[in-house]
Amino acid sequence: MEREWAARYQPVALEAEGWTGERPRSLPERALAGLVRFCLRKPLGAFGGLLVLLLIGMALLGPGLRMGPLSIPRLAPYHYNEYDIARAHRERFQAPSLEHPMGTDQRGRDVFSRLLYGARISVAIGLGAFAISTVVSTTLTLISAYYVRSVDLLLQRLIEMFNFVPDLLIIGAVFAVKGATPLALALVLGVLGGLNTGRVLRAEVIRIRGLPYVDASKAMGASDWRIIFRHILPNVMFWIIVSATNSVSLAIVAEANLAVLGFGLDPALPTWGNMLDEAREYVRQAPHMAIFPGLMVAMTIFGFRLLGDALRDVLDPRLHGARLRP
Amino acid sequence: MTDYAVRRVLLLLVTLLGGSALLFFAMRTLPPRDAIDLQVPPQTPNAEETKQALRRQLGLDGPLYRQYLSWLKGFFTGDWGKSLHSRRPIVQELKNRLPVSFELGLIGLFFTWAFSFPLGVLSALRQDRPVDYVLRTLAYALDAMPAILIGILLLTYLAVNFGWAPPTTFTYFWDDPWRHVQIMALPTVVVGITSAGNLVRFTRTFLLEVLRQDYIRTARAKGLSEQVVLVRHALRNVALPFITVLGASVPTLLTSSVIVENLFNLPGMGRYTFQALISLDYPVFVTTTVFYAVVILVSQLVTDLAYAWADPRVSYARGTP
Repeated sequence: MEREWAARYQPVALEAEGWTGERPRSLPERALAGLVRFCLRKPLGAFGGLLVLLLIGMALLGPGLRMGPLSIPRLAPYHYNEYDIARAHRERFQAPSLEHPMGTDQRGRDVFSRLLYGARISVAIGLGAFAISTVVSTTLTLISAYYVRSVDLLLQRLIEMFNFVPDLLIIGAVFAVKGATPLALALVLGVLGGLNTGRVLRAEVIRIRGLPYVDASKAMGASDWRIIFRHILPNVMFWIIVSATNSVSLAIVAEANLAVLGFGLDPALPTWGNMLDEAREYVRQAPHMAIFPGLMVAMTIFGFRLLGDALRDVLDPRLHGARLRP
Repeated sequence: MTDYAVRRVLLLLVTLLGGSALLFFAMRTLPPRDAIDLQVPPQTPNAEETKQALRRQLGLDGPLYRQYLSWLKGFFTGDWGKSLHSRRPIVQELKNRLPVSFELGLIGLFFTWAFSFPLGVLSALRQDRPVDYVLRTLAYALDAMPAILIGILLLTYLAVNFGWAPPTTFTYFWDDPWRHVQIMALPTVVVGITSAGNLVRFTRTFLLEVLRQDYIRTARAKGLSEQVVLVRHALRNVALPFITVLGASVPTLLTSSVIVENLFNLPGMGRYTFQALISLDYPVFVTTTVFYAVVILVSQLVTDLAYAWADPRVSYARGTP
């Protein structure tokens, strides 16, 4: 039945999409064409993507890379903790110069090098939180929102109760047990973020679940899993991708917030949050110590936000055809 | 409708009980030490006995569930207990601290509104012209700046260019108005700016959507002036969702104040709760957190009920809690 319908209407649909009868192209070709189309349609989003790529490049190459036979020397001119105690009083708080493009900090360490090392930590936290939160929110929400009457009622109460316990207490407890490592932070932020984005996703799934095409496919005898994966998931996919790009920036902000509250990662690590926190004391002598890490945080969030919004416009099935430009 | 309301209130009570129990037990069992350990230095003679005596005096001995029940009873009867460290009653502290947080949130909200609504409208009216591009870029840039960043960068800028920093000790408005204004100016601006970028974009998108509606075309076709079309027909329809979004951001404003209050040394609720957490002062921490949770949950409930009452399409039948 379904196949018959498709056979009858497919030619029309393909022509409408600009299908000219050429030989089907290979996957890389199509991916490249899609990328070019995205860049042309969404220049701002492409710019955001460029910023994200730049950040990932910094994180990979900044501190140097050694993977088996592959070995790339570090891009950072200095080690993040490199300073000379004997000359520290002369070399500290230097304004940006050719030797130190972003100046030096209170011990005479190179801010630019520290930023590059910090990029790796931030990207690790961000991507870790992103992966965990996407898995948590997608599986939990799809199941919960589909079985609204049984699983959902219990699960939602449980999540509401968990919302009672402030994130700081949970993070503090995990740090006390596991140590204040980037991995522990990514884990906690991922789970907490996943539960939070799940709330919005849940509303969307409940809405779609009541639409006629779900009823229709149920009437045709489709199993629950088929409905969830073939009919509901593709329609909320854009949402999952957009909130995933958001979760990266949220994790990076959370790291900075925790550092300034004194709840952050090991102060010896050159994370952006730790650098911002240290800079607060020396605002008058060395404003560059606050400005450059701040700009990095802002640039990262800016990039992910632009990319996420452009992806939403391209992927959201409801915006297709509308000429909305946010 | 009544069924729905009763169900929601019952569920709220269940959530409150379960959540406060979870919070209480988490606070008492997760940290490896308790507040008394922090008060008695380990080198004092008879440290253990002193601690035991203090615990007995403060009601920290005995089984945990009984302590929870007595805390619960106190919470519902209005006897909220004292801080374990300063021994000051929590209710007294709340009376001093709530106005600070409330002022911060309210003025911050006002700044958000005053900043983002006009700019969003302007951006929509000049769609795809230079003004629009500038405003959109600005909105994105603001969106990319978390409160902490705006705060630190503002402090840096003012310190470097004007050599000015806000006074470090807090004074209430009725003690020294001018000093109070100096203290509160930066934090309120930071709170206000933080969510402004998002709302500029929201207003713009929504106004554009409204301007594309049929009734706007009708109003123009009737020969109404552009101003009347905008004020009477378009803006009214934008204002409602805008207010809903603002209302939804109230809990965020309350919680984001932890960062801003700590950054600017304000004696508000966020700082109180945070300090209670790091000093393991469990009565203060649990009570203030549950207090906030009650405020947020009740406001959510009221919003949902108002929606269900105003919009018949919102299903409040069984199965959609």
